[in-house]
Amino acid sequence: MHPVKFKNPFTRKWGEDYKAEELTTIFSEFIIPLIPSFFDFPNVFLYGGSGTGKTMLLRYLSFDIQKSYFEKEKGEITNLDEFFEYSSERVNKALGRKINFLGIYSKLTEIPTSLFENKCHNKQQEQILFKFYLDLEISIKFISSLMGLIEHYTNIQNKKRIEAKILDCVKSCSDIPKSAKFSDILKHLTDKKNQIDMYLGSFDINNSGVTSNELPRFSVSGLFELFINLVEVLQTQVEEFRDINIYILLDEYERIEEHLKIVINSIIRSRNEFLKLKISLRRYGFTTSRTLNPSDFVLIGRDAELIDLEYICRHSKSKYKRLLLDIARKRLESEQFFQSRQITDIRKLLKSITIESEASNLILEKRVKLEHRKRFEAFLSLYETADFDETMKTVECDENILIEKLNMLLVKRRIIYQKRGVKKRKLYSNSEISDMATDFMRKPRERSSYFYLYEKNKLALLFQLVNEYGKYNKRKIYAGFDTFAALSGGFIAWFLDLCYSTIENTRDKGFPNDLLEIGVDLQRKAAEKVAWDFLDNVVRNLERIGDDIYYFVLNTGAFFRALYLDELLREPEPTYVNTKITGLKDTSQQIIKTAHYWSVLQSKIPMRPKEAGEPLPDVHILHPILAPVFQISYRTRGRTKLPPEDMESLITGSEADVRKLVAKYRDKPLSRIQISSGQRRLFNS
Amino acid sequence: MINGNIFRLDEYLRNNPGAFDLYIGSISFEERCLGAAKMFRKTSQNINRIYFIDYLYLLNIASKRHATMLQKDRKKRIKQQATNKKVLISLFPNAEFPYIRIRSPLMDISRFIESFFSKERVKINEAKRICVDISTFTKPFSFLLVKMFVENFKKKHLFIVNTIPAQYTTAPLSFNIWGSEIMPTYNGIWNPQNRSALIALLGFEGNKLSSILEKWSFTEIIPIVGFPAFYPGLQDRALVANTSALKNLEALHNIQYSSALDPFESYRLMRDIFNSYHSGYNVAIAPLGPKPMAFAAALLAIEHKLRIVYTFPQEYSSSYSQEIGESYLYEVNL
Repeated sequence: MHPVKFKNPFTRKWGEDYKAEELTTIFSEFIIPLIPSFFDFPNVFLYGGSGTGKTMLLRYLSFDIQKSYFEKEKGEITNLDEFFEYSSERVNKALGRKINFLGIYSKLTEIPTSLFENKCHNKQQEQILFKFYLDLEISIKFISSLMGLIEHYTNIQNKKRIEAKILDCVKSCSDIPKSAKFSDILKHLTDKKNQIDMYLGSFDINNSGVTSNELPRFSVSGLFELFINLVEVLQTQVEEFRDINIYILLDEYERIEEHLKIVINSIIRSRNEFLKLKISLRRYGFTTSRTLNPSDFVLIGRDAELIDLEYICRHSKSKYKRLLLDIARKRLESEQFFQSRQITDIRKLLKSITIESEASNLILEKRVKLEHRKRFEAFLSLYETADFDETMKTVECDENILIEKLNMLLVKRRIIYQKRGVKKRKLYSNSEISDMATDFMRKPRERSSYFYLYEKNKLALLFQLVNEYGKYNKRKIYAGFDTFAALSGGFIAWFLDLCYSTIENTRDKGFPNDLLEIGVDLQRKAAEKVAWDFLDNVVRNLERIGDDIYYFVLNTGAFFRALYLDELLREPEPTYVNTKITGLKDTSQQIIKTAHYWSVLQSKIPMRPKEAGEPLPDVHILHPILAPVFQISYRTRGRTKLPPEDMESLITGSEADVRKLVAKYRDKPLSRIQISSGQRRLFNS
Repeated sequence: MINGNIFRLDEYLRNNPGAFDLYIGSISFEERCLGAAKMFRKTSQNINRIYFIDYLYLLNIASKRHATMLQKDRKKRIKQQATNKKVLISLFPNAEFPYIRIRSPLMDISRFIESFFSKERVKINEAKRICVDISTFTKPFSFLLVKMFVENFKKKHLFIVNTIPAQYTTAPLSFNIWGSEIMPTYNGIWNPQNRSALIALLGFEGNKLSSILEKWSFTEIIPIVGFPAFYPGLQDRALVANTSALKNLEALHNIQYSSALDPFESYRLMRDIFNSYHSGYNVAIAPLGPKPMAFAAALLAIEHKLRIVYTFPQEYSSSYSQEIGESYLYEVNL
């Protein structure tokens, strides 16, 4: 049988890279219900890491895409009311209320701000140049969008009226000649912009006598707040725009320097009632609230709202999953191969596996000896020999290896806590354990103490089992739609990458099979590949201190992994640490802040501290996409409170330092902690 | 339209006793910075003005974990450079050795170039046969030099020398990324209404391309690999290094090839690509590959006002290349 050829529908592109016609087929409006307040506030800062869908959303709201949708269904725009009505329909449906809009999208990295420093003597001059350039950039896009909008407007009289209003506004805000016509506007503005571009591309050297042309010159004049005034003119003087929200969509705000952010902040602070700025940026990219007026500032909540898309996606799990399902469906439907076979449900395509099945698969093969029993026996021999056989009989459960592991855990806790004289914990005798386990097996859904213990610890116990059977090349299975959604950690791009790699793995592997699904092992390999790619290609290449963050992540992942092997499993599934970063050295703070900025670390609202009166800590969650690298959980469950000095060990410490740290936080003597060698030096037990 | 000829430098110098009247080279930690100078001496060339620009890349060491290692490697780099400088002084005691310490890669190089050319303006204007040795200049340096000669000195005839190392080690050229930025003075004319395309000259460090793709957005990406390469197999190193950056984008299908040694072939290929994207697109070039190809990119960018985007390294590695290989001379007619 010849392998079937097909195009992978999950090809990665950044939001800006899609052509309008591509974007209209793959964008999912299900992102909108996640952030309804985006439309409630005039000015919004939309937080999110790279790949969370911010750019896609801004582009979706832009005129280019509005036009593309309209033209696909209705042809040329001949009636403005019809256009606004139609193009807002999808948003309205997703949001549950009516919002007519026109979006002007601009990416701030298109402004060559890095060249400003060469041409300006101080930051004030740079601010003036930036304001001017920004005005030109947005105005050009704004006016070309308006031209595209009214190009085929059939009501000629109205068309002329709108053109006249726009022209009047341009004349009052710029030095365009009084005799200029509507059709001259774009050329005038583009020439002005080219003049700056030429100036920025020139050297400051006078070689007169050799060069016949004069050096490029330009002055920051002849344009004043055109796009701001144009919004006002349209909304107050042009009937067709009276109820239209004009969104100025600014992407990549975090990429511009702080003194230039101040220029945008000032526009926000002006609180022009007609202007609505929707600004996207990385988390923590809003680094200053200052404005050009030294005694004034932007106040979040008053002048703008801050919406954390990344956080929302991680915490509104069902809505996030619905969004991912819809995106995947659109992707699959866009390729004939999948469409024709009706493979459009990613949940069905990605086979999943229960924790119990995964655990029992670990010991399926004949060659595999029952390692976990051997280890438990060794534990009993070390601590208690009196009722060895009875205890072994109590814990064994051939039907469910996880129940057996839980029984072992309860026995271990009893033995160790009794030896230590710990009184606060509930400890179970062998007969209690046996009775509870039997009842649980009989009525697995009944909310018993054992039920809660099982639910709380089963995944952590599976990780222990995977480690115990590691010598048989057993790996944790990361598979199924729900797991991929959790691994992506709120990043649509990582979910798509997981799907992409999975689909790539099916090539020449007998896909499509009769069941039209992809096995868990191919998914596991894909998850590991994407995770390592993230570590090696994203984390390591972060600007300036990529290597520092890379080793910090390696240390942290290895530390967490070692904690999974805690005999007493005091904190199941550790994936985050609590540390007040102000207690760290400056350079370490910088590493942590940068890791957060690039979403290598994520945060959440801290849980109540264990000790009363303790201040709330800062939370640092390792991005779940890294879970397959370290063979740890992707859930945000187990916290480890680290004082700053121990956090320093993770940030800059050696393997030996981390080994000491593990010994401190894990119930195991130092001598028994071994470190695997090789290029990928991770901790094992 | 740009064209020219390629020569082996040693042969050209043997046949042309007064080959150049002004030469600008660099002093680097790489031994190949001596390649052309040794040949000049061997063929007893009489060059009126010789400049060896003594530049050191000394950005703040940001890495905490590797600060000691980087300090050590930096010391080694400085030491190697000082040794090479001594050799050059002994070969050309009358040459000039203007120096610059680079702490801000965006500002310092362009300011230095402006001040150097302002100071030497008269001599450069007088020179008819100018040779720029790009072997060990960093790309920002050579791009600014070329632009200065072409735009501000209206030179229509230039000689470019490139000496390749005898061997590239497996060590990366640089450590950590400082940032991806528009090359100073290569802003180009960028129309906000257009889509954008990137011509990416692939180098050995795929992370540099990833950084560019992450910062800017391009609806089309056209990667170019230097093939035939300086040495057999180097093209594979470039491809492997960039696969992960390009694979998911499906840009691997678009890969084009151009001789790593022939800037004129690269120029023609890039010009054809540019022409095919001319309408409705802004075209940028990322010169991350071999120097002759990067030189071609500079010429095309100057001619058509294209944008150059570049990933600046945080620190250079002292052991990137070994010894001196072949030297090639490119005679360029602009």
